[in-house]
Order: sequence, then C-alpha cells, then structure tokens
Amino acid sequence: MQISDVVANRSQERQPERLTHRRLHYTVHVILRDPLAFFSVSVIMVLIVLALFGPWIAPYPEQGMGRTNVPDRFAPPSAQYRLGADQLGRDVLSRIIIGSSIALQVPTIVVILAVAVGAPLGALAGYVGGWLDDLIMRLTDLFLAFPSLLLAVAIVAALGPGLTNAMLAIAISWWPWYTRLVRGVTLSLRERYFVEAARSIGVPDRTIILRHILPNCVTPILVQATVDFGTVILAEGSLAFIGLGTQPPAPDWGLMVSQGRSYILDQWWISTFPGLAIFISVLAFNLLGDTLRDILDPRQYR
Amino acid sequence: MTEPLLQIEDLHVSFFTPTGEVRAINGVSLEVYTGEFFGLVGETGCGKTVTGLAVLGLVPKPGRITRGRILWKGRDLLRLSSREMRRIRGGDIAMIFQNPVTSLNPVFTIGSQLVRVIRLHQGGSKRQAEKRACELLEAVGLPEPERLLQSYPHELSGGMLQRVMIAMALSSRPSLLIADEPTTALDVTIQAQILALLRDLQSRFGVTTLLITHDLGIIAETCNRIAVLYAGQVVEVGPTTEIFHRPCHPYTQGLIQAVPRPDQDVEYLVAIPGTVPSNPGFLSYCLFAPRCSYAWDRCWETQPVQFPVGEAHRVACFRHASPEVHP
Amino acid sequence: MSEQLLLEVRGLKHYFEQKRGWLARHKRVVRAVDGVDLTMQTGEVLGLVGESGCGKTTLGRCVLRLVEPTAGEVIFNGQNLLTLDATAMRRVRREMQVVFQDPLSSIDPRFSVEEAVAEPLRTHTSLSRPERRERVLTLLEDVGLGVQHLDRYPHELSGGQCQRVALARALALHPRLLVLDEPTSALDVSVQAQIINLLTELKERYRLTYLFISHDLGVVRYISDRIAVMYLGKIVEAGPARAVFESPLHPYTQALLASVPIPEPRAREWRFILEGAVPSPANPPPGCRFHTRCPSAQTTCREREPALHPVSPDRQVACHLLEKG
Repeated sequence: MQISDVVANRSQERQPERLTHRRLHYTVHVILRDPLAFFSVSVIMVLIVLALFGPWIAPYPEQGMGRTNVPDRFAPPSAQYRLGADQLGRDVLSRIIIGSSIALQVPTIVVILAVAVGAPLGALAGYVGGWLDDLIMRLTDLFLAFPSLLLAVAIVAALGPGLTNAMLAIAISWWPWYTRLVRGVTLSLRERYFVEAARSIGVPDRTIILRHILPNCVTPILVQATVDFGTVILAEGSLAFIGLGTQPPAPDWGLMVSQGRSYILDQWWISTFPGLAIFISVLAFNLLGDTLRDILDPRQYR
Repeated sequence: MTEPLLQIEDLHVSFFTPTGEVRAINGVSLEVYTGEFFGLVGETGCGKTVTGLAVLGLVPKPGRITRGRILWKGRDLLRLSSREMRRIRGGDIAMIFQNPVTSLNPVFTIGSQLVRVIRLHQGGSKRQAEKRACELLEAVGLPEPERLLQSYPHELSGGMLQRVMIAMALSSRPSLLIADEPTTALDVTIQAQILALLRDLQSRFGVTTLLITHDLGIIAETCNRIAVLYAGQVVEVGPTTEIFHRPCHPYTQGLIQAVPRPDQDVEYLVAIPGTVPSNPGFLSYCLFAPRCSYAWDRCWETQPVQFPVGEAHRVACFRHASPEVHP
Repeated sequence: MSEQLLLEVRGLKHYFEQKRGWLARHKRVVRAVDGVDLTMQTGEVLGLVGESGCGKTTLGRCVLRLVEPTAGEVIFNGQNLLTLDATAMRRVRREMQVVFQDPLSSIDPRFSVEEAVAEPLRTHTSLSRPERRERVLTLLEDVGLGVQHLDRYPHELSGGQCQRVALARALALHPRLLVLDEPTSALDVSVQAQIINLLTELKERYRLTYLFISHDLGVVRYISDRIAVMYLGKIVEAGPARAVFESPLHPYTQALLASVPIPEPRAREWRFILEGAVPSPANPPPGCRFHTRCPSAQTTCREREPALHPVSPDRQVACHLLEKG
C-alpha cells in the first residue's frame, strides 16, 4: 500500500464527522452567538423549570394554587410580595410561577392534537391527490374560513367553559394549518427522486407516506409548532380572559389579566405582570421558531 | 512580451463559515492577454467560479479575498473603491452565468431589462437605448429584435435567453467577458450555437473572453489558452494544443484519460483514484499528492510552484522542477 | 450471447395534458413519447440519447411503469406489464430497478445508508434485521463502499458515493433490468469514470441489462452495445453503437454528433452547427418532426411522417431520404 493510499484513507475518515456531533456543535454555536436565540432558549428553559418545580420555587405555593389571603389584598410589590398581591391577597409572583405549568401544558397538548390530526390529512391530500385532495382541502378551507379564535369561542360555548374544553376547542380550530403546511411539503417531496425510487422498488403508497413523506415533514412542522406554542398561549389566555377557558381559582395567566381589569388603574400589578409573562413567553417561542429554522436547515452542512 | 489584460497574482479566497474557515482558492496565478479566448477548467469545487467572481468583486459572503492581487490593465482591482468597481462591473468587465433563466427578472420584459442596463452604463434616452438593444440582439443572432423587446423571459428558450444575456453583457463594449459555464444548462446542439457565437463575437468585436467550464470538449474546441484548476490552485497553464497533446500534470493527464470520447472507441476509462481533499487550504504538501501515482518524498514536503515546461506552458509539479526530471 | 428478448416495447405512447394561460383556459396535449418500438436482449446495454424534450426520460419511466403509458405495450420477460394489477406489478418490480440522475436526492435525506439499501429487502423479503445488514454489507462491498458507510447520511457523502449507494439499493433484489437515467451527469469527470467502470463490472458479474439514458454522447458510446436516438418523442435512428457513431444515417444524429465538443483541439475539420431550437413536444411539426431544422428537408418530409424502418439487418432509421423506392 502506497503512502498515497494511506493518506487518502485517512483524509476520507477525518472528513464527515458524525451528524449529531456537528449539529450539536452548530446548535450551541448559533445559540451562543445570536442574542435573540440566547434569550428565547433561556426563557423557555426557565419556563420549563418553573412548570416542573413551581410548587417548590414559588414563595407562597398554596396561594399560587388559589388559597385566598384576604387580609393582604391589594398589597403593592414589596419584599414580602415581590410582584404584589391580587384582589384576594394572593401573591402574584407565586400565581405566575404555578400558572406556568398551565401555560406550557396547554400548547403542548393542543399542538400535539393538531399535528396528529392535521399532518396525516395533509400528507394524504398531497400524495394521493385527486378527489381526496379536493375533499380534504375543502374541509380545511371550511375551518380556515372562520377566524380561529371565534371558532374556538363557539366550540367552547357549545361544550361549556373549562380548561379541557378550551384545549379541545383550540385544537379543533388549529389542525387545518398543519394540513395545509404538510400538504405543501408533500407536494414538493412527491417529485423528489427518492420517492420515485421507493415506488420503483414497489413500496406501497401507505408505507411511502409513513416512512418517507411524514418524517421529512418533521422540520417544517417543528418550526411551525414552536411558533404555535406562543400563539396557543395567547389563544388560551384570550379564552380565559373572556371567561371561557380555565375557571377561577386556577392561576391561568389570561384569567389573572382578566380578573385584574377592574383594578388596573390603581393596582396595576395584578394584570400587568401576568400580561408581561404572556408577552415574554410568546416572544420567546416565536424567536425559537426562527432559531430552529436556522439550525435545522440541512443545507448548512454542505 | 505584451502586458496581460488581466493578471491574477497569488489569489487566496476563504469562506468564513460558522463551522470554520474553508479555503476555496489557495494561490491562483494566471494571465489573460488581449484578444484571447482563455479557458479555466476544473471539476466541482476547484474554485473556478469563485475565481471569476473574485475578479468582479462578487465573492458572496461569508467569502473574502484574503491575499493576492488582481491587476486589470495595470490597476489592482482589490484596491479600488466600491464606486469605481461598480463602474467596471458590467462596464469594462462583463459576466454571464450558467442559468440564463435565473439571471433575468421574470416580471419585466427583455426590452426593459436590456434598456436599463444600457442606460446605466452609457446613458442616453429610452429610444436610443432601445435602438441599441435591437442592434445588440441582432448581433447575437436573434431574429425580430423589436418583437423580442416586448417578450418576457418565460417566452424564450434557454438558448435564446443566453443570447440575450450575452447581448446585455456586450452592451457596454467590455474589454473582457467572463462566461461561467454558459452552456451547461443547454442542449448540445444549442450549446454549439452559443459557443460559435462567443467565438464569432470575439473575433468580430475583439472581446477577450474568459470561459469557465468543467467540460474538456468545450475547452478544446473554443479556447486558445487554458488553465487547469485543482483544489483552488492552478496546476497547469498553457496553450490548448500543448496541454492536450502534452499534458504534464498528472491531474491533467488523469482528466483527459477519464473522459470518454464520442468520436473514438476507448479501451478502458482510467479513473483517478480517491477524491478531492475536503479542506485543501490547510495542507502543506502538494494537494494532488494523495491521488498521484508519481508522488515521491518532495511532494509531501512543500507545495510546488509553477515550473516552465515549454512555450508559455507551466506546470505545478515537482516532476518538472529541474532539467533532470525524476522518473 | 443470449438471444432471449428481455424487453420489448411496442407502440408506446405517453401523452399528458398541460394547462396554459390565465386560469388554465387553454389545455394542450404534450406528446412526450409518441409511438416508440424497441427491444432489448438480456445482457446488453442500450443507450438512449437525445436532447431535452425528446422523451427519453419519460420512456424510461414508462418502461418501469412509474408513469402510466397512454397506449402501447411493454413486454418484460414475456409479460405485458401494462395488464398487470398492483400486486403482480409489485412482484415484477423486483426485477427492474432504476438509478436516477441526482444522487443526493435519490436517497431519503433521513435514511442512513443501511436503511436506504435495506428498503427493497424490507419491502419484499422477510429477512430479519441482522440478515438484512449482512446483505447490505455485501452490496456495499460490491459497489466499492464499506462498513464505515453503514450509518452515514446522504449529505455526509460525496456525489459519487451517493450514486454507489443508489446502485447498491438497485441491486438488492437481483434485478435483471436496470434503467439508468443520466446516472453520471451530476458527477465530476473523475468520479464519472469510476462509476462507469463500476457499472461495467457489475453488469458482467450479475448479468444485468442496462437501459442507459443520457445526453452525454461520449459516455453512451463507451458503455453501450446499441443505441437509439430520440427526437420529439420518436426514435429516429437505432443500431449498434459503434456503427451509429461512426456513420450516422439520420440527419439529426449527424447534427448531434457534429455538435458535441471533442476533448481534443482541432480534432474536427468541419463543424456543422444545427440551426433553430427544438420545437415544443406539445406542438410538433407536421410530417417528419425534424424537417424544420433539417438541412436536407424535401417536400415529402413536410407532409408525411417517416416510419422507423430497417436499412440493414441491425440498423433502423426514420427518414424519407433513406427509404428505398
């Protein structure tokens, strides 16, 4: 074996690092470099920690759950009540912390539901085409014709207020977006050579959709889902705001904003801080979506 | 010996990506003389396109020219202000690219785009510019120029669009035309038309042409001098006939032997073993050594410079470093 | 040489509709393949050449029944594929495979090399995972790759390596016919040579038959035993590769060969440049489709379409000028 062969082999092996290592390295690099990415990832990590360990972190966890403390009602922000107390004397900070679990649970469930229903429909529509495509797309058009929040309101009004029904209602008004998204991706994937190759091998259509089409939709779905997290938080908060979502005494942020409305001029902290929590969370998810798109774009690896 | 029109000296271009520095061009030196049809040939990733872009200062971010000089009529282009460079770009030096469909804006007519370019570099009224546009379209062999001015890009075929691009490039009477794979996206019969047109324009209007391509056939038939690029370096440069009949660099030899010919029966295709190094800019030995069947100790110590081997023929290979050629 | 006909195509047509204009007002019929007959013997390489719009790619897909032909017959191994139902067709697919032009996108970017090459095995056999891996390893070795490539992904491989993976996948079920659609067009010259050598070697070893579709005449000449030249959906000339290349009979073949640049300076004394552009396959010229660009066009050429007829035992041309009588 000549020197040339040895060096050739060596350079070949050194070349492609493992996919995961390079992607991890690149991910960390992107997050550390970009201030917005850093912000969004930090906020979300904080939220997750709060949601998981809220009862141990909050200074007044029982008040967070809803126990009233009327003697201290309307207490302004102080050392004792960092963000003030609300109209029933409950510590606003604790309620925000406990409420973070609702804020994260709801979008998780809603998005999972919406994707579980919407994505397969979209893949079917895109891959099979023809009358099935028309049928599914008309159905999605029907749902999309309603302003989404209005549709959710109507559904909750029919089912009755409450957190579970609110989640169901939002999920029902959300799935069409994923159908459309996945259908678009499927249409472009269908023309790619590897799908033709699978067909030429004799892979049944059902398997092609499950093993080739849907997995390749994961990236766009993930990016969209991340941004949707923020939007769903907002939607659920809005439903709670008008009384159709979580019911008191749950520490739902939207509910807190709504209940503090009457006192907004003098005891501004009751509405403002939950509102800020919503704002920061939604912003963080939106920014995360952008960051994810940058990280997951495989063209970066060429 | 006349002064070259374009002289590239020891050009180095790097791309600073988040995952590290990629050295696309690692010391390219070549000269193009007035009136020549010069060919820059190499495979993917050899840096030929980046070289063309570097001349016009169009290297995309995150790329940057890190070393070298590009002398245009004696002036170093890398030292010019962006305003001066803009005047040269499309003016004295013009460039056409591989895919004419993406070079033109689909929303505007051919005429409006041509007229805009003409007025940008030469001024004049719209009517004058339209007249000149018609002349140019005729010069590149397009029939019914007046009607063409009203057409949209999607109404023309690839070959016609490339002729429009050539017309656009020639509108400012450039001294140099850089053509980056101008026929790769076209059919063979159309390709022949376009190449004939380029040669015809060169002889008629004296436009020096720098043709960038990976196709050895095109190079052999149209260019009078060529440079062979490998991993961002010029490995051999000289007159076309010289290089094809007496290829000195092992890579050039390998390329020629690896191309099957439509006009001859070839016994066996000799494939060059191995692949192009992934980040050649950081290597201190001859970039071709790992794949070279002649490589000896010297090749692993330093990189060769260009050694003369004949009439205007130079090779970057230690086998030709001295009168006693190592066997 | 085996005299058995592996593939016989008769009167194959593939038309499809194309909507043009605002709000799809106008529909026009594109005649991608317009009446093609051809045959292939076991073990031979048939090169299919032509420029864009000639229908060679569509023809390849019709043979594999990846698109449904509008008319005609595709008789593979004695069976007319177009009459088979889905299950029977799936079984036949084991014997005919395809390799595409763009190696990188012919493998699912989310599949590792092992998964990609094992896919045919998963679909058609009941081998267990370790058994599949064994087979995949053998196939990879056949194409010049190794165990270190098993868990690589397409974007970690070079174009040449991807194409080898595509080949390994195509060979997994021991097919008899391989349709290669521009398999080397996206590759560099040096890699192209490696792949072509590999193809030749595999053909010998596994007794394969190749339908080699390409626009690169040099490659086609090197690898093909016979070639067929297509123009606007029809075959205009067919015959042994060397004979057609050395003495082309149809004016289009002549023009094609005259237009291809030769990698040797001043190898050609004369240069015949073909005027005009290829007409649209939605609107082919009447009579002989080539007459609009043909330097020797006669009145008959404008009126009647020439049929592909034999001018010698193994050569066929579709041209009035060569018809006897």
